[in-house]
Amino acid sequence: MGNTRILTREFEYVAPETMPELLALLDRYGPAATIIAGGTDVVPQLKYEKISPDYLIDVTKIAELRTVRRDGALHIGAAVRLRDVKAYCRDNETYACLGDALGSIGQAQVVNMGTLGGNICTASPAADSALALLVLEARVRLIGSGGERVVPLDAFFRGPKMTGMEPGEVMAEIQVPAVVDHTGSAFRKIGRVAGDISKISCAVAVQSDGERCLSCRIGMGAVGPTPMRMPGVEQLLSGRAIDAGVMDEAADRIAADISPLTDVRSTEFYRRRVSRVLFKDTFDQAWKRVQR
Amino acid sequence: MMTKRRVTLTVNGEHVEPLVEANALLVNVLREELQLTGTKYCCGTGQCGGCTVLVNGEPILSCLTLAVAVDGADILTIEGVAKPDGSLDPIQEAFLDHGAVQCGFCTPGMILMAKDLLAHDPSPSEERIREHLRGNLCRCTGYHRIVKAIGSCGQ
Repeated sequence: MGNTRILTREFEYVAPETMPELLALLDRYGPAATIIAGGTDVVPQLKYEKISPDYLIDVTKIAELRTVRRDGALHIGAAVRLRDVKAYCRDNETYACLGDALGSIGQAQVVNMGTLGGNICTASPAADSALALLVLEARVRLIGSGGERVVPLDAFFRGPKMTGMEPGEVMAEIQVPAVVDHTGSAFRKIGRVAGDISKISCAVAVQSDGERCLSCRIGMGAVGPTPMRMPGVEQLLSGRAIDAGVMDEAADRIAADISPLTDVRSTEFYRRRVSRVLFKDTFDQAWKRVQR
Repeated sequence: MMTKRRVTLTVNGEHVEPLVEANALLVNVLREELQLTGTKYCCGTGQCGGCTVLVNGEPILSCLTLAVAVDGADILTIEGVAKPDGSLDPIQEAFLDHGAVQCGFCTPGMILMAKDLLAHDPSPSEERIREHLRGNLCRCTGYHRIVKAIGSCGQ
C-alpha cells in the first residue's frame, strides 16, 4: 500500500548540471536509476512503492532542458515547467489546444512543479498535454550515450506507462512543427470535477477554408492503451464541407473506432456514449478558432 | 544508511541549513526539523493543496517535493505571512472577518494561494479566485466565505 507521509525507500539523489554528466550517470547506474523532474508523478509512485530506485537523478538543474526556443518549429526543453509552456501558449494562439490541455490540469501547484517532458514520459493514456501535442504532430528528441534520435509522438507511446525510450536514454526536448495557416485547434476533457484526471479527452487541429475541412488531426485520450490518433475520422472529414450531417457521421465513427475500458474513472459504455458529443464540441471549438 | 546532506534555505526570511536525507520531503523538514507545523500534511498525494508553501514566490506542494531538490530556495510558509511584530496580513484579517476558517486545516494553504494570486492580480474576479484555488480542498466552509474573504482584499 505504501506510506504517503514519508518516503520509506532509501536512495541517493544526484542533480547533474550538464547533459554529458547526466548521460554518464544514466550509463553508470542503469536500471537502478529513475529520472525525476517536477516530482508530481515520481514521488507518488515512490510513496505507493511502484518504483524502487537506488538513485534518483534530478534533471531540472540542466539549463539545456529548461529552455524554449523557436526556429520555425517550437523546441520545448523536456524539463520546462508546465507553467511556462502554458504561459507561452497563452501568448501564441497557434498552439491553442496545448494551452487548453495545460489549462485543464487545474491545480496551480501541479502546473508550477510538473514538466512537459515528465507529463509525456509518464505515458498515461489520459495525459492531457500529450494528446494536444499528438494533434500538433509533435516529435520528441531522445538522447543516449550512443547518440540521439527524433521520434514522432504517436510512435513514442507503446502502452499504458510504456514508451519507446531505451535504457540510458533521456528526453531532451519536444518539437512542435510550425502550424500551417488557416488552422485552429482545441482540447477538451471530461473529468469528475474540474482539474481531475480525464475520463475521456479529445484534441482536434483542423485546417479549413471556411466551408470545407482541408485536413484535420483528431486525437482521443483515455479510450485506449495510449493517447490515440483517429485516422479513419481524419480521412472521412478531409476535403468535406462541414455540416451537421457530416459531423454526425464523424461522431459515429469516433464512437466506433475508440477502444475504451471500464476502470476506476468511468465505464466503457459511458465513454463511448460521451465520445460523440465531446468530439463534436472540440471540433466545433477548433473550427471557430481557424484564423482567416 | 543514506548520507545526509546540508541544504541551504531561506525560510520566512531566516537563513537555515538543515541536515537532510535524500528521501526527506520538504513538508517533513519544515514541520519536524524546523518546527514550522503551520504547513499541514493532509492527503500526501498532491490532491488537496494542504501542504502548499511558496518556493521562490510560487506555490508548490511540499508533500511531493524532496528537500534536497529545493536547495538554495527562498520559502514562505504560513508562519512567515504575518508581520514580524505579530500583526496579521490583510488576507489573514479578511479570513477572520469573513468567518473563512472553520477547522483551519486547509487555511495555511488557502492563505498562501491567496498571497500568490493577489501578488499577480491585485483585484481578482470571483471566477479567477475559484480557478486559482482549484487545487485546494476544504471540507468545512463550502468555499464561499474563503472566496469572499480573498475578494475583499482586492483593490
